[in-house]
Amino acid sequence: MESFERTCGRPLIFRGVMGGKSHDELVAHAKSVGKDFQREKATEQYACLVSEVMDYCAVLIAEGDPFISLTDGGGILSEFSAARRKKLEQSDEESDEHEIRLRRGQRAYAFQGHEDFGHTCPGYERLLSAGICGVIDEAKALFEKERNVPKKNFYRLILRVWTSARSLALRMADAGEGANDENLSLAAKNLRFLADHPPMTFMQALQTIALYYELQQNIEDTPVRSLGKLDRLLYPFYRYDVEKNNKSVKDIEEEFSYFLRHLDSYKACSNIPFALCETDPSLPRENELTRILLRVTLRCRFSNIKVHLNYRPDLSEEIVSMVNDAIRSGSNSVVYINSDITVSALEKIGIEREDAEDFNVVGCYEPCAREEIPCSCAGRLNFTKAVELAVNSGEDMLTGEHYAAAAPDCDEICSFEEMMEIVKAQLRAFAEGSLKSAKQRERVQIYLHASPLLSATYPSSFYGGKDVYADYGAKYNNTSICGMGIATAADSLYAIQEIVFRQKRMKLSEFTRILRKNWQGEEPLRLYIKNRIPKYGNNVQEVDAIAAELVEYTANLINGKPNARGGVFRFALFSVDSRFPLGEHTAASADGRFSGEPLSKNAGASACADRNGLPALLLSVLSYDHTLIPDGMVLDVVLHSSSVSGEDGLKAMNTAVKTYLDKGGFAVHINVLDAELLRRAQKHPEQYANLQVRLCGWNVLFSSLSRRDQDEFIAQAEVAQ
Amino acid sequence: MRGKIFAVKPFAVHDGNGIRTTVFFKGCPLRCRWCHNPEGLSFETQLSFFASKCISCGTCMDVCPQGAVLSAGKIDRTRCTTCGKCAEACPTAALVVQGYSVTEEMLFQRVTKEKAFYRDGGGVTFSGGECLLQSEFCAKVLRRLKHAGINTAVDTCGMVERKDLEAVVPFTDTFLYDLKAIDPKVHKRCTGVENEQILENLTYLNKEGANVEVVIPLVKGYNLGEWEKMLVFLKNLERIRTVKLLKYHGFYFSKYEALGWKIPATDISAPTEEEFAAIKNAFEREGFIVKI
Repeated sequence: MESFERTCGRPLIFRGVMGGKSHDELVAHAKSVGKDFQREKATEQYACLVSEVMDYCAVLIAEGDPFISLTDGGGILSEFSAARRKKLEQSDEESDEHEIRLRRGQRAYAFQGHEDFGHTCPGYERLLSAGICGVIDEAKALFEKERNVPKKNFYRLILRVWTSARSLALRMADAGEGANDENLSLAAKNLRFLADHPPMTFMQALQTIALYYELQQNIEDTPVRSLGKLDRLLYPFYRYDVEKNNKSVKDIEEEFSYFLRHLDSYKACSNIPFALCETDPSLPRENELTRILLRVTLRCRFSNIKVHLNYRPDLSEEIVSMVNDAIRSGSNSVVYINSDITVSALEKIGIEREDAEDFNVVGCYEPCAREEIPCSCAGRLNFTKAVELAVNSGEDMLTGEHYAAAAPDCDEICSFEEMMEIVKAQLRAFAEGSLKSAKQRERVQIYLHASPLLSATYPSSFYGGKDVYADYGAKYNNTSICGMGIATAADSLYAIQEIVFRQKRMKLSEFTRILRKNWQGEEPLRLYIKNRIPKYGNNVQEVDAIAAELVEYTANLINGKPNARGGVFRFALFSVDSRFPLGEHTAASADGRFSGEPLSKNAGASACADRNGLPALLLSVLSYDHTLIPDGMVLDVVLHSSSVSGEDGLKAMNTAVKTYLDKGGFAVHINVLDAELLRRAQKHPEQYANLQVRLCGWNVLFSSLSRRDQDEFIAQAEVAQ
Repeated sequence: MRGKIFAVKPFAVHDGNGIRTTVFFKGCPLRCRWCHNPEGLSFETQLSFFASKCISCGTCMDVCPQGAVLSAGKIDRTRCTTCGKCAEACPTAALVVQGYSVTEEMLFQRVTKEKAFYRDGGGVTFSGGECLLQSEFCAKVLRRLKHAGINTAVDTCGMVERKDLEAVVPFTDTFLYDLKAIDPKVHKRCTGVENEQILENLTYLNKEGANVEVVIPLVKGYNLGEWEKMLVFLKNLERIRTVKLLKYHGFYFSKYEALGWKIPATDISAPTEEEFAAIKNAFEREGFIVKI
């Protein structure tokens, strides 16, 4: 194989080796099949289309790449689902009062429900031990044996799809062989081997993962949101190469570098994550491969690759140091995930301990137990909106509509305790609304999507003869609802408590009038509240207690409630980029926020409101029990580069991270920023093309952000200073 | 008993080991020409006005009981009693009262809020101003912190009576001891006072076996010519092995303006990278651990 050092600087340039049909032909075909929808499950047509795309798509190869996995088959199945969704919507009608309120709440961004096929971690153990050929053999045997018609059908479709996958692998091998390129020939050799055997070498295991990624993520259109715990998964293949093929650590590092570059070329939306370090508490945290993979990842600094680092208190300090040192020098692709907290949280919603202990985070922060389909972004509710309705007699300030709980007139609210009760009533209505909306979507999803690839990697689904989406075939078919804007809500309530009930500066009705007018003519008051009234994120017990009460109350409204697929709901606390649209639909809030401004980010403080140092922020976030948040939450920390410079700074960073996690923090990711540097990067993007920042749940190139996002990072960096 | 402080800074990473919380005490016997915390110089409570934050809303004029605010941000300091009403009401914190009184209990509670983060050698640092001008109060709080298992550090200029040092020695894990010059004339030009007492106290701490880190600010135009003498002096204090070299920086002028004061010295600058590196190397060659 050509040396990675010589080729790594070069971006991969792909060219297509045509299949039998063009992309446009395949899209047109998928659309027409989708339009011909008679309220039958998606299973059959979906699987046939997936298989056809595999049979006819073009293969994309790049010179110098020892992996082949890309095709032009992405974006085709989504056309099928879209066509079917359109038909479904046409048949939906406005119905009773209940339904109307539900729609109003959704339109107002108070609560929402969506389909979520997008957060999965396939069963890699199965995939790597059986290989494509193993799946085919087993499906064949089960098909022949099975008497139950729907199940027999399931195996027939699995067989068809996986046989197409095998043929595609062989077509890829042909394309690689025809390219007259040393690295591509190697890929071709591996693919030809993998058509008939499970992987044996490190490169073959990586090729299997890359190929499967393309098949599920792009062709089947079921996003793969984790490559699994790669140190654990790849260990046997690494040992095999070291023992049988005399491979050195340097060889393995080089092969993994190639793999990361190949993945990076996918430019997947919100990154391609994988996990490192063991989640099972009875096993050692790391194996020989852990540091090799971590080192390569940190060194390569690909902006599209992300690592979930599974933390337990016995994780080596050296690993934490390695990661933090990389983060402070701008390679911030690592997020810490607290294994123990995750396992407890998953157990609390009824997941068996063994399955919980083998979790992977899918996407940004959402834990997914073994054999679980978590639908981790299937709904959301807006904490800040609940406060808006509570101070406005239950009426949405922007739409003027009523869709949640009835609330008394402002002047009838005599105490802050009463105020809190009214907010909780709104949250109850929002939770009901989001569960109901999500359930409606769940009932529909069987018509829109099926997953013949993913289902074959889930033992529960595969041996049960049921598709994970169309038949709810996984062992745990759960659904998640995210609470958003928690800090904005807590800060607003505390401001009301201070201004109205303590300082008695004005009546609540007066305050509400000011909010309805979006602070017009009240700038001194707005600034006073913004700058002088304590905020969540500063370890001020009274404010933090409000946040904690809202979080714990809402978590209990969601967690464990039955969904429409035989599973339960799970609560999350992150707002990622949804805080922008939610903010746009939320009126001025009592914390000094203008109407339309974004809500607070994830579990963190309102923008630039944490001014009391990192420990204070961390302690605020620790004021509630993170094991009540099985769908995950995260805290974004912004540190100024000067505060973590030198040996002292690195040690302080390590201590802060470890203390937070040891005290029960679920997850944390860190940006080390320098406002001056960011300003220069904004002005001269070409000179800072590689500068990464972590945006909510994924990392991005600073130059690729909108002006608004860039300005927000600069403001945060200034506060950190 | 009460002490007077002007700030508590959490997540202080460069004021001693680990993650620390630093308490800044009011009042200082020195007048260093480059002082970065002028609000700590006087023991009296003062009012700072940060013009860049003022939105000219006039709230301060409305609430001042003395009529000392003439127009937004314009303060008649002879009439101001620093009652703090304006600062309390100011929407943007453009007005800030510098200095408030705390009991032992209040301070202890405040600095132990972040106790969880003091593992790995972190803890609490008393600084200022000059904290040892309030040594009795400091000793009481430091003793409680020690009993609570919290690491303690005292950042001092050394211009205090021996008994003030003695009071805190038993409860102080580390002294961060400022050294600015050896030549008394240079010291006087830099700080307004001569340094006999400072050098004696440092010698005393060395003899006592206290854990001392000597902090040396390097300020061009003032004490840069003194470093060799300081090195010789420190070589003779056999127990002192760690020095911290601080390069002058100029990010403090707005604090003087806010107090209505003139900037004390403008003929001042940082040493060059080469000068700084040469000094660092010289200390290292003599076996000192040099922190920067």
